[in-house]
Amino acid sequence: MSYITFSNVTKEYRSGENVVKAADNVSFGIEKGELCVVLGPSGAGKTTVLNLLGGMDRATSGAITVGGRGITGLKENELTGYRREDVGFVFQFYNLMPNLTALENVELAQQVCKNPLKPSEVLEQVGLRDRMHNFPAQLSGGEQQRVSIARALCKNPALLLCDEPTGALDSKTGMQVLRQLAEVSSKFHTTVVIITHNALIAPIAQRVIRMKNGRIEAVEINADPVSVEEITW
Amino acid sequence: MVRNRLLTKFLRDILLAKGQILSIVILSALGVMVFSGLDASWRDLDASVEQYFVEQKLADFWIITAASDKNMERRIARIKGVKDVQSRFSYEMETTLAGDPKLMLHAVRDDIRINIPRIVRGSRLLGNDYKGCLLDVRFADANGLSPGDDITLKIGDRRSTFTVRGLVISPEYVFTSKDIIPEPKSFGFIYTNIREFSSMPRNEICVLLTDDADAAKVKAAIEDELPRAFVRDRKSHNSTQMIRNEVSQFSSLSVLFPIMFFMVSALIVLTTMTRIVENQRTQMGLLKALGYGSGSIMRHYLSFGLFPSMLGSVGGLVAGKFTLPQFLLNVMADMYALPEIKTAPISYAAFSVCVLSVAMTCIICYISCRRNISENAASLLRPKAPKAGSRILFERITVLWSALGFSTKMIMRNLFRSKVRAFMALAGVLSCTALIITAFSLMDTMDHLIDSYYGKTLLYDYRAELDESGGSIGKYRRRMDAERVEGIMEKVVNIRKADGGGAAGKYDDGRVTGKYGGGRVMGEYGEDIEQESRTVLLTVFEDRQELIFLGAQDNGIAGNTAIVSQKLAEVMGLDIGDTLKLKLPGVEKEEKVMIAGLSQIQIGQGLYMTESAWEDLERGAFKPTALLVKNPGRGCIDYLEGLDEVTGIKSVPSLKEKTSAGVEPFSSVAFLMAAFALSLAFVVLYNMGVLNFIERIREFATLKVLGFYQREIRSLIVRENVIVTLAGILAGVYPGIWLAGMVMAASEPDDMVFVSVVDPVSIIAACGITFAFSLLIQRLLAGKVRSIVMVEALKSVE
Ligand SMILES: Nc1ncnc2c1ncn2[C@@H]1O[C@H](COP(=O)(O)OP(=O)(O)O)[C@@H](O)[C@H]1O
Ligand SMILES: [Mg+2]
Repeated sequence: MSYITFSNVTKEYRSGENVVKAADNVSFGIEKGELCVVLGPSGAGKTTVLNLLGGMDRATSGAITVGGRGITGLKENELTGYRREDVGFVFQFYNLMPNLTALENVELAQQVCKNPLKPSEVLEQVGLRDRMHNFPAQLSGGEQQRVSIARALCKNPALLLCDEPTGALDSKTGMQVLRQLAEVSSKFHTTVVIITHNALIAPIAQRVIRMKNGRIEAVEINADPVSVEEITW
Repeated sequence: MVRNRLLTKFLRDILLAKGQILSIVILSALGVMVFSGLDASWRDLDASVEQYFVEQKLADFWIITAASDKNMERRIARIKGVKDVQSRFSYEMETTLAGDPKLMLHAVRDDIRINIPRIVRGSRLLGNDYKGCLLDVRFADANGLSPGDDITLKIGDRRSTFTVRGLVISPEYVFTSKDIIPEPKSFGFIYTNIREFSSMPRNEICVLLTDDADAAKVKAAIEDELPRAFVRDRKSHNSTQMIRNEVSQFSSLSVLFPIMFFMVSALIVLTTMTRIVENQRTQMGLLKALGYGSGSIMRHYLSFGLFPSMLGSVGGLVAGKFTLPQFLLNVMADMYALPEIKTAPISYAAFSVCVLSVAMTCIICYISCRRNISENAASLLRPKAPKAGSRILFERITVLWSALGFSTKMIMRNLFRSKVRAFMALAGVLSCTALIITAFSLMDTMDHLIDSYYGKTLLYDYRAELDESGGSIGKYRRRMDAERVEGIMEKVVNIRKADGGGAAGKYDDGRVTGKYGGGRVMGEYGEDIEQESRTVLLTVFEDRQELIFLGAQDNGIAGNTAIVSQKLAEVMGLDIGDTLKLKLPGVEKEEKVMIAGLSQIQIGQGLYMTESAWEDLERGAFKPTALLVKNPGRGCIDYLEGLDEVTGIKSVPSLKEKTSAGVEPFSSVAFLMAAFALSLAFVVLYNMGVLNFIERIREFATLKVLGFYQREIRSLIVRENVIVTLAGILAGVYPGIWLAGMVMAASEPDDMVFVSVVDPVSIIAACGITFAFSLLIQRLLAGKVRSIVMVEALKSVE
């Protein structure tokens, strides 16, 4: 069995009489330590799948397991514990605390987990040594995204989930971010899932899951992923 | 068809922010309502009373004289400013009804022209109807009498029977009581024709003045004309004075507290408004980017302020006007016999407060819009930058700072970084605490006043009233078995400050009197200015009295000296060492008395003398009009009840009870204020709690995603708010005590001394209630943490 498994997962959103199937009978698996890219056009259901995997939302039906543990059946508190211990999030819209500095935002995540990395070092790693004491509103989108990555990395999670991490960044900064994510995957054997609508990123992944209209179109295994330096967009 | 999408947005926004919009409505309503309600209460009362007095021709003077005749009436009628004169026979009589209730009789010749009773049931009394009478409606109701029934009065051995024609209220009996509260079962009034009492002297002359008359001048002229008579004006007419005091107490209570109340609610409305607008910042940028003009954006956001505050303020204005007077005046209905209270038009002041409330909200809305609109669209679309890395001062004390837990650090930073928000929350809690303390203290002060008067000032247990046939004090003392018996003699007298300079006192506007005699001080323009006389109660004690504590060295006074109660001294501008001119009823010449001390007595202001000081005046012997008894033995009260000359016995506890009932209207205002202060506190705390929560919902969602447990997030919210609330409560105690003092000082009537008292229990209760409200609201909000949908809260950049 794979480290992560989705079996027949469906997520429906109901608004009045309309029912939107954001994830429609989704099944796939991801191995431990893999760098996985979920690819698909906007509205395909990628964020939905990631949210389900990260324990931020509950599936309407189907089962999800991570490391052999069923996520779908967890109680609210256990789900929180799972997010706390096992998952690192990088959000599409950063979601930093506006009244904490970059460093404090990272410290916020460090505070709740068992073996965190040192916040200032992680920030240095993402190239924000000089901006540590700035507030989010004083940082550019790319910088905020890097703070968001640092916040996720600092928890030293088993699972790193990134929703469009390069979406708001230019290609140079975007590549910097991707390099870091790839490094985390290879160095710490962290399982990294990256969501993107950008097909050019796909070659760096060991596994590419293609989505459309809430369904899995294809799962490709890439035995020989290219390094981040070799891709451009 | 192009619809107005801004209108759609406005309606949706209102629905979305319904909590805040609703609290703006409620807060505006509360603020305006308290003011308009209390304002209307006293204005309605005042207008109704004054109209009643005019319509029923309430006398301006009641002259007590030995016997009046046509000649005397004519002489008074000739005085400039006198409109009408009517003399009558007035006498307190027993009836043959069960329980020997008494009636004050007023017998007149012809139709009643002054102090005309108003018929409640039955018919009028015609001038030639010698056997009919008009009877006090409350007395009649309490004793089961109706029009057509007969009632028999006793004077000595004589019996006179009258048929009740009509049941009435009378302008001179708005308040009918021999002491503190009305007891209609045992005391009332009756009007008859004088024919039945033709052998009796007409011992009272009622005088009605023209509208433009100078009352002080006329009074002095009457005193000149009838030097032996005793002139009572409306100020010394108990009933009239009581109701006027009530009105003025109401009116002064209706200023300070409601204004503070209004200011607090306005403060919260304003901060809420600012925050609603601030939260719409990015949307403003969007509208601007879309090409909407500043004008239409402004109009859009002004509607956020205008409509809710208008709805609330006008609603409050109307609600206050039509509910509070009803409630408050109802409480007074037992005390005062008044015609139906008419609703006066909404006062200018109440209307202004309403307009002010709407205007302030719109202005603040305008200002915060302006501040935002003037920025360019791009910068509006970004969230506002907090001040760059401002460290709080406390962080510099590294030792302490690093000792704190992370969440405490976060709370502290949060508080200090969003200073305005924290400060406003603090100010809100502070002022609510202060208002509650003030409202509670009104009740405490009344309780304390009554307790201290009956517990520390009156040291006797019973008081027995004696009529003229009473004997010397020695006689009673010998026959009564009690720890202590003392006699006092009470007399109604007129006093004025004798010449010798000094201010004329704040009372009685020292009118120019020209040729009339009496003490004079030189006025500013060299005219003779004389202080108008004031009718007060003179109490003469035995030389070594112990049963009334005056808070002054009362035992030393002798040789034409007296003690004046401090409030009276204040009102008349008197001080120790000043000389008073004292006019006794039926005595032409005024006596001179020196003020030897001021007494701290709190209820009932007057003049006190010892027996020997009285005897030095050589105006008759000391003859007690009441006996004070401490710790009576078994037969003592029975003995007193058996005496013919004893007209009534009252125990101090029953007097105390009556006084408590007497301050009931005041207490109900206090109660009302407390109720309003509490509801204000609730709305304020709720509003601030919700606003804080809504503004930070994304942060809480993020914390949730990061794996913070619900209890951790909850404790973060609760702890932060508890810190603010506690700080606010503590900071509110002193302002509360201060405000209580101000309000009490402003509402002190002329015949009482209010010592503002704030019971520690009240402070604890006020703090406790505020804190409990706050905790309750925290719990409500903390419960909402569960309902935060992470996915949705984090989806969009707002
Ligand atoms: N809370 C929601 N309510 C209704 N529909 C939703 C909600 N969230 C997502 N959807 C719908 O589900 C579909 C998938 O959305 P999402 O997973 O965000 O797509 P992606 O991330 O691939 O762009 C979309 O059609 C979207 O409209
Ligand atoms: Mg998405």
